[in-house]
Amino acid sequence: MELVVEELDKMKRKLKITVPQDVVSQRVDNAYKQLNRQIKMPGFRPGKIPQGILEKQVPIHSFTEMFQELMQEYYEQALRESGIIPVGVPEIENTELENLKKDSPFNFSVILDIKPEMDIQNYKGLKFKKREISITDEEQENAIRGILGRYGHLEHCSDGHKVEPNDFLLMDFEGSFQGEPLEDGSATDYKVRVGEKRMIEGFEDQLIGHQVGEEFEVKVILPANWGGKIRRISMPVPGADAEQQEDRATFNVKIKEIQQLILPELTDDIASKEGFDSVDKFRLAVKTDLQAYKEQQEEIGIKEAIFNKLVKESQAEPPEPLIKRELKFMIEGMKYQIEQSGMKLEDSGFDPKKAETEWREKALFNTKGYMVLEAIAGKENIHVAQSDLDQEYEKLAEQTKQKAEDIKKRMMSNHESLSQTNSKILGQKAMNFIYSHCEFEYVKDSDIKENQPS
Amino acid sequence: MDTFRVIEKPLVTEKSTQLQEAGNWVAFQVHPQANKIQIKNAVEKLFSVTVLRVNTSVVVGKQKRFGKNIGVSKNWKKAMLRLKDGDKIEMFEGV
Repeated sequence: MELVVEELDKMKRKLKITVPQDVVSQRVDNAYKQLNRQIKMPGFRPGKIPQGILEKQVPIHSFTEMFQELMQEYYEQALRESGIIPVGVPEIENTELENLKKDSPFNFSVILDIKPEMDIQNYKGLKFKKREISITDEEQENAIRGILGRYGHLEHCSDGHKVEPNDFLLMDFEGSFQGEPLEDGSATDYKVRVGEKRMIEGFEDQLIGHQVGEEFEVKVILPANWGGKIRRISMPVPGADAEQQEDRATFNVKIKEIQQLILPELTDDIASKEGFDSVDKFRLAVKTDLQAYKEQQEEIGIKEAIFNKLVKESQAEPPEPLIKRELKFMIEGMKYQIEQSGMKLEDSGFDPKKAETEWREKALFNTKGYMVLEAIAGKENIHVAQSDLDQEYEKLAEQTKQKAEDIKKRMMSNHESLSQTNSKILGQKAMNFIYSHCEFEYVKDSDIKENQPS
Repeated sequence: MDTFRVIEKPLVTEKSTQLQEAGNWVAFQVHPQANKIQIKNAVEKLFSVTVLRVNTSVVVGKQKRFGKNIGVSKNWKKAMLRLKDGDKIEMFEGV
């Protein structure tokens, strides 16, 4: 095999590959022999057609499949010989499929993007400020109250009671917008817990202080995409009153009932229902849970900061196919989420084509990050082992409630998603490595707002 | 007989290709009433080759049954011609 590597670009290589003549003619002969058995020609028994006649009947370039196999084989061999690691799908150029000859060498060239080599330094011993995690008594009490809520019961309030946050209301309301009834804006016997922020912003706040049987108006600014339709929003006029009347919908509200959640005392009984021996142990467990959760949040925050820093400092120029792949995965993921939420893709207003341009920057950013992490993994000899993959499968299986075996099979059959999973795990491992080599400066919770590398 | 009506079609079969390779023989289906001289002249004129020998035979039609009716396919005349060494008819070099 003859191989010429041409440097087209910093990131692009052209491989000129020549397949020797004897290999070509042998492959062609084999192909004809195989074809001979398959076709019928009057005057000949199957498999007995002279090759000369067959060659006239079936031109050589109809064996595209065979030539593709041949190209694939020699392309892989060329990669091995030249040591180039390709990225994305290679582009095959000027194949001479038109004027092929049985007894002459076969030339073709492949244009491919290569993974840029990166030299990454300064990823060990990054300095970050880390919040000291402490759980205040108030936070602990809040969490306990949340758990106790499950054991609580609702009680009607006395007539003079004014609505407070966390009260349960039963109410009717009728919405109107610009003098006309609002679509999807009315309900009877609507149940709401004040302060859960499930309604339009500002609605629940305006309920506070009212009594049972009272009728009153609530004015709120409608969200721009009310009812799944995009509405024109008037721009705020500088200096004018901040309340823009034209965007406000009016709701006539009548409160029918107010109920309060009565929490039970925390007793050993409830603690045992939650799986603890005593109240003290329950309190401790809540605290450690909170602590672990907060620490995890902190770790995620710092890892994000590391990622951002690495990407900012890297000079990496990700090749186009990688960006495209990332974009594709982002869009597929979004589609999947939409479908999971029970919406139809057409109704959701999600436009893949629009997303492709809008998310490009994000995809570029991510791809850069992956490349940096991969480079670090390569430098630190971090590899993805089979056990890591198995763990990932099991995690996925738990999330999607399928068997790990099935997921494994599906992943194995799809080369692209397998490599994506691989690089994801590799990235995680590299990230853990960097995280464990960071230097942390512990600070009090209130001292920092954002994680900034010092 | 009109020269263009003598030759009906070339025969390309396993046997004819074998003979062609062995001794430069070619085979045609010819007009049933054409004689060897007419065949020789027609082939020489149409394909600009030299014909050394002409062998002819009448291929008897086969009996074909369609239900209870028995039909007979037509008899036809086959002509085998030996060409001078080096002469070729392009048609037989792969149809």
